[in-house]
Amino acid sequence: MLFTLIRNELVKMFKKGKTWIVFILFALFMGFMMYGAKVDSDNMGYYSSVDGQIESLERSIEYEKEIINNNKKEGIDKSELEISIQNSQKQIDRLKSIADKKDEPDFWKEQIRIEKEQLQSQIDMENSTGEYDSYAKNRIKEIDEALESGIEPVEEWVFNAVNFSNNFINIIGTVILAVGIAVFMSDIVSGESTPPTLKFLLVQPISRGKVLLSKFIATIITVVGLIGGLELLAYGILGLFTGFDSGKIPTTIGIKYKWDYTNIEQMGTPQLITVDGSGISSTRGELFLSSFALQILFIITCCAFIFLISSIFKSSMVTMAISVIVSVATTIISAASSTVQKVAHLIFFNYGDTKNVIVGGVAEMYRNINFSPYTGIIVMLVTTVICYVIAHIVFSKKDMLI
Amino acid sequence: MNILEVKGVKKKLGKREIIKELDLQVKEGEIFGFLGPNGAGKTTTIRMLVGLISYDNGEIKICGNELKKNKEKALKNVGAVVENPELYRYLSGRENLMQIARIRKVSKEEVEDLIELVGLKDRINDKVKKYSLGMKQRLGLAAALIGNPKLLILDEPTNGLDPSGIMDFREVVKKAAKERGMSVFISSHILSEVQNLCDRVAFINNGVIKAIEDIHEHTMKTELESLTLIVHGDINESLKVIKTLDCITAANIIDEEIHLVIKNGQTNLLLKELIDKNIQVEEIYKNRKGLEQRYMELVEGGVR
Repeated sequence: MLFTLIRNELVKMFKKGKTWIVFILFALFMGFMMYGAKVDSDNMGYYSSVDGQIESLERSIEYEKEIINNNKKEGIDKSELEISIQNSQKQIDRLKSIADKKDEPDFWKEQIRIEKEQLQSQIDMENSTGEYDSYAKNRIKEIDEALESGIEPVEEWVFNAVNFSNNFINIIGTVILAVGIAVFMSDIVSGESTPPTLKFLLVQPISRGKVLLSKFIATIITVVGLIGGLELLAYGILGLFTGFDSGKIPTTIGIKYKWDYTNIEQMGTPQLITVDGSGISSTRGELFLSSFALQILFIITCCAFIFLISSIFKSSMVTMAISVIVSVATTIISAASSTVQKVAHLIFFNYGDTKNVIVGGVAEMYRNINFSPYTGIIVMLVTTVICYVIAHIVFSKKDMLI
Repeated sequence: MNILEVKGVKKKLGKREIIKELDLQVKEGEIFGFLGPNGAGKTTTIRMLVGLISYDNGEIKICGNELKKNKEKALKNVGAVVENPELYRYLSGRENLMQIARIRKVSKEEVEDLIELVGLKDRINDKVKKYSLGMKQRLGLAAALIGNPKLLILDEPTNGLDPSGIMDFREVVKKAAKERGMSVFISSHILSEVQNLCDRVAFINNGVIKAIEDIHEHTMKTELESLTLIVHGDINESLKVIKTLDCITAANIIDEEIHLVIKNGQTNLLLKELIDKNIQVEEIYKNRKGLEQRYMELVEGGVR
């Protein structure tokens, strides 16, 4: 019987114009993001290439010379500008000297070795901050792994299947996903109160529990299927054009944070710094898969929460308004209020950016060191169960005066 | 055999007692009318009968199955349209029926027969949002008939229908009940509808069943009679005099006519007294018969 009810719910869901409108809007949003990522990637690619860097430096020299010649600004230090021009010229010469090698297969190794040296020299400098040190050390670790594995690192802005998918999960995770789901499924129960089609269903020889469960399962199948399916489709199609090799690129996940009480900020609060050596070596492909899996759990929890609201209120507009306001307000307050930040790891909405949860950066975002993927899984599962149980009790017991 | 048995049912919504005491039985194959004015408790009763709302006391049995304890078994024998047939507007008529057919494990062929029965064959593939109210009522009836239930519950089914729609609907219900041998519980505040359809009728007002009686057109047992009197001269003066007469239970003026209620069998006495009191009678006639009059007695307490 449950299977039949789920089938009925799926038929209703896919016959609704709203389902397809929201899906098309989501697909258009994804397409727009894809186009933006491609344009950014092309621009960044050029300006980080040898030719692009030379062009940028030449422009800078030209501008500085113009300032000197025109003497436009008062109190200008010409000697400082001349030193800057000399330095730029030296960099241009250096770039031109290695430009001939750019087509060689191991050219990238030379580039990241230079980057490693620069990072190390920054760490060794006296004025280096703890925060920068943590970043630099993680980056050096990644460079060492790339050199060891012989796999050319690809910057995260490069347009390919893995990078786009990881960035997309990152972008939609905070607010957009929760709001989108709220708009999509706010009428799942309350929508059957106005007009009261629920009567049509509840006078049938089936328990209310089964009716509710079938709606919940059908909603999850639809939302996960449409969002997850579209993400996987985008990953697959982009992968066909750009390859899947970047999935093998090493990356660090599970970075842990701690409070640095030796370094108190202006507001009197300690600094949040990464725990040395806390990151785990992984790959971007694994990062995508684990972020995607955690995102599925997040979607299910969102569905359960909105389902609860939809079971309580008769109006789908009220349900949508409450769901949207709660998800947006919770995220903003969690990030902005130091009091709420202390319990931010217990609020499921804050786990929406699942890529950041897997990497560990979410702790920095909410200034709360208790965030971890495992905490997230527990919080989301517990929230799902609580929301569903309350929805079940409300729906099963209440008089249907619709 | 009783298909529906309601014993001592009470229901409170908030602090207000909507149903104070409800006892009734519907026999197999019987068309049972449930009459009462708006707000009498008809829809609340029907909501309880189909499990949409719970009841505080008493018991409701459908084909022997107590509704609270054995809801699924009880509702297996029930087909219902509660108030307006609220169907999924974005689905076709056929898909709406198939939703129920799948739940009740009814074949497509049986659904086709029902479509034929309610006369929606030509429009069944249209989306419900394109249906007129009459078509929606027919579709609602077809949905209620899926699975050949033993008890069909209809709540004010002709609300909003035009006269020909009402007649068509009545015929479909009669046909369905006759062909399928099912009991029908039909609530209404339209007297002619109940009179034309039902075998027995329960009168409900303020959440209490006032009486349950057989319907035999023009022979329904009544205690009071209602008459309309048109007089020459000052109508107000005439009314004053009429109100002093012993045989009068109630009297008032509506649209330049005097409406009277007298005890059954006292028409002759009334005529004699009118002449004795020198009332200039132009016209006098009995204006309510049977069910309508009984309704007035039980529900409205006499004349309006």
